[in-house]
Amino acid sequence: MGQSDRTTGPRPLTAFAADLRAVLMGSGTRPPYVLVGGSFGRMLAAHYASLYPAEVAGVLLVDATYPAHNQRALAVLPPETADEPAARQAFRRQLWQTDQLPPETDDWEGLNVPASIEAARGWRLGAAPLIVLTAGLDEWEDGFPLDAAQRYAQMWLGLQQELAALSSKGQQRTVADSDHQIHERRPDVVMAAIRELAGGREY
Amino acid sequence: MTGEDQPGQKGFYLSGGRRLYAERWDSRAQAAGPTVVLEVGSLTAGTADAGWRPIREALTAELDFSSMTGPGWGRATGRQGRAR
Repeated sequence: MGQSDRTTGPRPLTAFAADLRAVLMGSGTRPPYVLVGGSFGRMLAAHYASLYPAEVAGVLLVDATYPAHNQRALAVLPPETADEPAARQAFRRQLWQTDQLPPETDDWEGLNVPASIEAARGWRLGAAPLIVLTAGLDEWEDGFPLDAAQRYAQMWLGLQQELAALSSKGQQRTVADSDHQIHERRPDVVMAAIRELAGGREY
Repeated sequence: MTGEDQPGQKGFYLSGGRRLYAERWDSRAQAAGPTVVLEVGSLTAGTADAGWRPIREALTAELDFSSMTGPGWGRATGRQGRAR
């Protein structure tokens, strides 16, 4: 748990972005920023860049998720059956838990998912330098059906390409030998992307 | 502890009546340039995320300036093992 005060309930991405801005301004950290988003921070980075484009020199999204991810992931799974393999059932339940609970329920890291899905529809990054790094490897539990995994991988790649398309300068790059933890498996790739964005070089 | 082991600045900042914790790491170069903001998305302070530490260290060594926030925005859900 972080040391910040707790929130009182799920909040939209806009509230998270306002918090980040308050911290940056309060600490005297002046723009421009190169925003690097990992884990939940990927959504926050994209949202911040959309809200405050004049403050952003570049955005790096590391195998970034998206508010509507769970809906899309559920859609690529075959219909639920009574004899569904345990691994697929567990994955379905995990997606459902984080996306289908009532808004007042403590859900996805305090995120109000429906409001954030709506907010994400308005993401526009203009011509902001944007690099989207995508994991080339997926890890599934034993017994997870191969066909469902393949459909999920296609969905994920499409989502990554959509994120890159938020900017006219967006680039989607697949890190073939890394799973979701790109910052741990290939920190050199992450650093190279940050250097590109921070250096303002053509990429 | 040396300056390489702890942030140059850490503390709480107010937003909507809440106190938000953040850490700032200044680079050795201190030259003009964009601020790199690592939003690791963890519920713990960013520097507690060991996976990002090598990148933070490289940033402070190489780039003009870097900053890491680790506000711990939300509440702990107790759920682990998300695929993404």
